[in-house]
Amino acid sequence: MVSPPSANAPSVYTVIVSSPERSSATGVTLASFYVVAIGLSLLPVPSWLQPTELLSEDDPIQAIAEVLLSKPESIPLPDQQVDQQQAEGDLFPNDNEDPSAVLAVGENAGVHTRTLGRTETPWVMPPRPQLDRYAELLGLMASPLERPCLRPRRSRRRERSPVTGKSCERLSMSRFFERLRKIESGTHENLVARVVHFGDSLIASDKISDMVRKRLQERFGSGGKGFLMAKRLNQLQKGQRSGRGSDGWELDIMTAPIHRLDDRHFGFSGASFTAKKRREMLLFEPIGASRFVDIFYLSQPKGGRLTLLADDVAVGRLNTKSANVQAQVEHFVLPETTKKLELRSESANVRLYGMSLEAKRAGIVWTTLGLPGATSDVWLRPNKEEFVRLLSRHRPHLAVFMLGGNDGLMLSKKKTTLRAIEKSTRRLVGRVREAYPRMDCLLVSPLEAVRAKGGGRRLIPKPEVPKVIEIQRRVARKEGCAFWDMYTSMGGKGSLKKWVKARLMLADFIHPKSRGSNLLGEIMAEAIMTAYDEHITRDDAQTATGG
Amino acid sequence: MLFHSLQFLIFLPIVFALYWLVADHPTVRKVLLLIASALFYAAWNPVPFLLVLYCATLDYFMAKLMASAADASLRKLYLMVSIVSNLSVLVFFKYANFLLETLVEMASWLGIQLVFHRLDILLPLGISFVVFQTLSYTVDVYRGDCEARDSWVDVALFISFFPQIIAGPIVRASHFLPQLDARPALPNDHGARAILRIAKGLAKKILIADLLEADIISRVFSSPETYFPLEVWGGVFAYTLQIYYDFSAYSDVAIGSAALFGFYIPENFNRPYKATNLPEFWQRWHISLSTWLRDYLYIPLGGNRGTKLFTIRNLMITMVLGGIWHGANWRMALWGGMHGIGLSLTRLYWWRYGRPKPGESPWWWAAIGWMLTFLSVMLARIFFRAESMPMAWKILSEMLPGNHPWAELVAAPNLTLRVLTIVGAASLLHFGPTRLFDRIADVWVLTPIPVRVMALVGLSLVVKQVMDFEAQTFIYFQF
Repeated sequence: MVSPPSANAPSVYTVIVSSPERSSATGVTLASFYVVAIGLSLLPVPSWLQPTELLSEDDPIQAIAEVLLSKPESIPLPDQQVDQQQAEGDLFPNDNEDPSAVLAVGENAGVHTRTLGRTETPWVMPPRPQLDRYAELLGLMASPLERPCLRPRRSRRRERSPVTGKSCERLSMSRFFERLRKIESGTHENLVARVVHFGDSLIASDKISDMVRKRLQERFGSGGKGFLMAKRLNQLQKGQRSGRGSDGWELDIMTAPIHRLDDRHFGFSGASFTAKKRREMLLFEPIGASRFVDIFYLSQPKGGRLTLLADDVAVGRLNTKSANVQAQVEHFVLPETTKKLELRSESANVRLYGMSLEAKRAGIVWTTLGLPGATSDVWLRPNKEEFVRLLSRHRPHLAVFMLGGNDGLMLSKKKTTLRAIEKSTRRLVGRVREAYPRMDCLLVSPLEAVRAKGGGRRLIPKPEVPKVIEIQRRVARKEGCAFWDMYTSMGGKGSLKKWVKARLMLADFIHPKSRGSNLLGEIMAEAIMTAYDEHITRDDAQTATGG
Repeated sequence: MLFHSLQFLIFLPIVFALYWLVADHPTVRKVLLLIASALFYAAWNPVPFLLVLYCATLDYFMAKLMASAADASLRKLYLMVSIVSNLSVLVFFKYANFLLETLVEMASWLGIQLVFHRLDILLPLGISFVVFQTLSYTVDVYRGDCEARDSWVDVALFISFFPQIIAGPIVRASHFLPQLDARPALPNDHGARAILRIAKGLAKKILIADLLEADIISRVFSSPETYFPLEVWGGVFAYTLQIYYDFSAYSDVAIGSAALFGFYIPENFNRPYKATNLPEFWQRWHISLSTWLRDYLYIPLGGNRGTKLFTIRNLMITMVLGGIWHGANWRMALWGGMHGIGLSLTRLYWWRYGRPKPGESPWWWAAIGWMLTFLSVMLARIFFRAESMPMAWKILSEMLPGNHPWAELVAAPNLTLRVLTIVGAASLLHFGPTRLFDRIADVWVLTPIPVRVMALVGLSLVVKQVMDFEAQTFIYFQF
């Protein structure tokens, strides 16, 4: 029988806390701290109230295990240190060269509405009637993103992989989508999601990617322009995705014939520009709300000097002379009212790759890195250490690879093999991942390609393209990347005829016109956002049901 | 394992709970701490911990042999074996490449062309601290300041105790080992102060040191020519603050963590930038190292017991070796030499005009002394941090006005509001009244547990918001 406590008996709290000899209070303090911290991290509260977000990841145990087993660097080199100031981007105005060619905003699968878990206003997919019309006309198939399972173990937060059909804890691109979710919820100021889009001429023109960027930024906001090449590679490239400047900049591009490549200093963009004399200028405008500038350049023994001017006022200087040849990145903060940026060579031999512009704002930063004629192995040409080093400074969260068109062409000419394409694609994915291992990846298939006979009256589908696509799909599965079948989405085998008939393709039957590019961009953005909606809907449903 | 990592935040409470569960069993609690220390170190790389155990085992036997030897010369022999073997470890792992490179360079001056191939040697974390600590054991036993331990675990734990194995404070054997014998106690007020100390250290590291590193320091030190003179000054000043906040943060967490297990570790810093002369600076900065160098190097060299020239020689040797202890290169030697020269000049002045007693000098004289001391410490830091000697000179040259137009001399767009706020706050915290912070600790002790817990959670939320970047390792890890 338990006797009742006497009125004068000290409380448990008094015993634990008030006795100076006892050590229990320290243990109670520590234990209470951990209980509150873990509790907050598990509760559905705004993320800024969660001491750690590891516990709200898809697989918290796996995430914690990763943290526990990770090894810190012994001594970080200064250039390995992460610069958080680079993060936050600006509003990149939609910069279509031909605004009239942009499809009216439409929708092919009904209006999507979704109440976001932690925000008041739901995002509503705007209607896009013209896309519907084209979907019917061209037989668009709206292929979904194929997201292989990255973590097949069972847990209460499991998803079913659309690829394998098996239960899955984590699909590819989940990490990127989680970042988008944080941006959309508005709880993370200045959080950006950086995307680097590698590709060939379809991407060099920045039409498909521009539409994807535009649609995603409509929903998630713009974090800035991202990386811009110093100058345009050719007239096909949009002026807004590069600087413009004087004629004294000499271009070195990695798609040049191998024997003409003097060196492999192409940064991660595949091209470099060298000022051969002083007073060469590059102009970047408009820069929107850009606040942070990263200049990517090559320091070398005979390197020259460079001045950065914001609205004609010098705000920084750069000396590219150094004992060693090494790619570098220099960061600058701009005055808030800056409208235009100018880079001016103060002496000869300044070699630049480009600059990255971001603002102090949450959103998507979508960088386009397209080179005309690029195949998957061409992207392996830049100096590996330099490529990895510069890309790691850019810190992309998603890498998109839209290659394969030229690989298919080379295959049809028997200048390469499927095995070689697979090998180079895997190496490319691996190299990009090396720069930032937590990055997600998305492989996008090429368009349908045809052989034109009879002056273009007969278009015969090339059989090599589906083979390349199968290779890419296999690489995506092996590397844990998502895959989007653009070939099927545009209508599959024989669809190019319809596209040509609808005047969506140029006369070479390879490159889409602006209207066709915009259409491809629309359906790609749609595929990404549908996958994102599935990700968060499933997650919200699991949260709601306590699953 | 980094103190400001999730790994440590999980590791610490587990070890804490297990330790106090077995606190009444001396052997068990010591073995537990030894295993915990091994895990702490092995989180980076398990192999070098074998080296730590090697040093511990060697010195355990040397100390035992010393204790049992009747002959003084034999005791000295065992001490020499300990010193030579420990220093050999340090020289091989830390200085082999430096010495070879220097040899090749010197040979080239004589017209002998040698080729230097860098040896691929892993530099074990905190090797300098480990060697200094283990040496203090055999030297203290030799001097009779502490007894040789019967238990190998005691010696191994003394050398590898996880709160201070990587970057100190360097604890003396005579100070630490007796604490192993007593049943540990953690009164509530000690525990509360320990938690506050850890929280304070983490806040100093993440909210001040790492932010300054990311915002201005790494940029200015990697390409000073990119910045205007005022920005370079700002970067160097920020680094002077950062290295204090970074290292003292480590010491705070180390001292706080050790206190959670009932161990008292001596203070390592005492507001060093308040010093009004260089000798005073070294009494306030990295106290455990400066006293170690004083007791185990400067005094054995003869200290100030000889002529003035002899004293200056000893000062210079101590400081140059102290510089090289920080890093295996001549830049660090130069940094140490600069401090040696500063200390010597101060001595010369005192010999000529007499050493002023505390409070004797007028305020303006103390202000001049403070300014000269701070400026010399700050400028010498450039050589401490710069990646190479030419880079150090370049930084210095970029601090000069040169032929910059007036507009560029006052321009500082990279000294953002955030940088200035952090620098301002860090300066205030450093130069503010010490009593105020003691009072905060007193209030903290009296605060109810729920309030303490909410304060800690609040701090963790602030840290998380600020820590939008990857955490930096502590600067002194590399030593």
